[in-house]
Amino acid sequence: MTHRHDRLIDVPGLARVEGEGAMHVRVRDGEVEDVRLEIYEPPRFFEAFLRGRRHTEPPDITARICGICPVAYQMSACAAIEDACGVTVPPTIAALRRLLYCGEWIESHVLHIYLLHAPDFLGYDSALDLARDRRDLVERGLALKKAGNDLMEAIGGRAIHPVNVRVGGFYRTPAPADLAPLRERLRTALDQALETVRWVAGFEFPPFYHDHEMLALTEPGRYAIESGSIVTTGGLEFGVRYFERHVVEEHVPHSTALHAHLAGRGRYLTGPAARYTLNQRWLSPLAKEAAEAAGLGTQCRNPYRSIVVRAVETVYAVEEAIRLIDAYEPPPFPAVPVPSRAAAGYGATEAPRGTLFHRYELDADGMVTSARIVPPTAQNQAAVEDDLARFVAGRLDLDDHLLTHQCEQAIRNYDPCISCATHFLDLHVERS
Amino acid sequence: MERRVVIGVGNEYRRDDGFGPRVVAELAERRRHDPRLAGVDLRVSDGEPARMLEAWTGADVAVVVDVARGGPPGEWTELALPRTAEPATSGHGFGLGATVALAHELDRLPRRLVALVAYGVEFGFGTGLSDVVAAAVSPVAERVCELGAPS
Repeated sequence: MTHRHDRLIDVPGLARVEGEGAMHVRVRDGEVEDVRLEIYEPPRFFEAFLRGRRHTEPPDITARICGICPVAYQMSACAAIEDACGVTVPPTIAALRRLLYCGEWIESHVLHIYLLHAPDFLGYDSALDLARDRRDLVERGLALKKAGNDLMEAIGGRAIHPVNVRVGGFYRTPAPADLAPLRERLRTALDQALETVRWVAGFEFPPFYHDHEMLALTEPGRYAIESGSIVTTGGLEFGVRYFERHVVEEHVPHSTALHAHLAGRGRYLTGPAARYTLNQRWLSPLAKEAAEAAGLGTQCRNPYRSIVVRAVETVYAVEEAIRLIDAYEPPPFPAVPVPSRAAAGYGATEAPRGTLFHRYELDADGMVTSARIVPPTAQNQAAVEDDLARFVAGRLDLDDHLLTHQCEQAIRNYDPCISCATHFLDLHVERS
Repeated sequence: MERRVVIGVGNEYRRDDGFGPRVVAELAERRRHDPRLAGVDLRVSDGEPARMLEAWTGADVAVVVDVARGGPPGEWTELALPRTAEPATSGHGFGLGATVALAHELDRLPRRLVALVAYGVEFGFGTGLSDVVAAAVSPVAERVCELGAPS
């Protein structure tokens, strides 16, 4: 325990988050004076990189922003380019995209649950320590994750940075026989996903809550993944093309990153907890039942419980993948033509970590003249900083080591995909 | 028949971090005329631990090609991978050493695991290797061919 009123804690690396960045907490005279989550934004780099490229290229280029959620980038890019070109893909192609996206949700959520987040709740420093004691649990996680990998490979061509996605659809589509073995593996994965919900529901969750406005895509009749319009818990409803009217990004002095907020309203949160809170009525009966048994209720405002939401969404994604495979009819053509035109297009999909927005402007020759990408982690920065300020204020009696460790855990609640945005995450808690 | 896998780790949009994928691309080209690479599974990875485990599980020989900071730029070295965890500060919260240690705990290590690591100098945004690192592509690819040759 420390009795200092001014403190500086400096941790050289925040482990078990996707990517790297920096975190600073300044405490002066016993009060939290400043909390800054710094991330440097490769999307800004990619936005510049995209200018002058053909309208067919953004799905492949933006997929390289992140190795964990490349499908999200591809799907948002396709949606925006097709919107600009006035093309709507047929339902068969849309269904195959949703199936691919399910693979990414499974892979990303299970990675976070088992290898990055669960060790926090179980008192382990890492998944390696967890594996030493409970090899069965880690094996279950890896097997479940592999079901997502297999989907990504079967439809996307490979598990990392899929190569089979193109504007208008795919380069090739699988035969039903290609998907049949996946269905069997997904049946097993569904049991593993349900076991995962029961497992994480038993964790102990600190009583910490937030009142952030939450934002997600919504689509009546089903849990929104690759399409929908935007809603918030504060009652906002708008089409994806109006995203920039409602979401304002601004430079903040302490970071090269842009902070997003809702115009005239303030910080907000996107991601699994927001999706669940806004869309849980559209979950499948089995996923709803699992959520109810896990004690989630109708909304999730405790960030620690986000691990339960991820597990429930994994159940949904596995079940949805099975449903899509059962209903699969190969499209008559792998892709539809997407002739370019001078126009702007807007696309948003639900990446595992939240709403991912893309906008492209094309000239008459089909070249990209401007691009805008707003990843979920950047949108969540202000809300995470707000959480951390309150979190630290309630724990100033902890010594620097323990406080820093708990801050790291609090950040991991949001599964920040800082690899979408930066290359190193240092944590500095400054008490001066 | 031996299962042999080569995993190029890195991000080609972060300059020298694209060394591993570049070596894999070179190997894919060489495979068309080099019998030592026949049947070798060539993969690119971002280093995410579960995917690394999946890539090398059951392999007789696994060669990981990666880039690192802290050495003479352009030079490269061959490492027998350690089985102990390292501070988990890499891109996905798991260093290669920790991934190897996890594989050890789960009995998922290949029979032989080798890392060929070049020292990079430029890790900013953008494509293309620095000249000194680009010069290491061919000798490292040749070493992979030697390691990948059926025993």
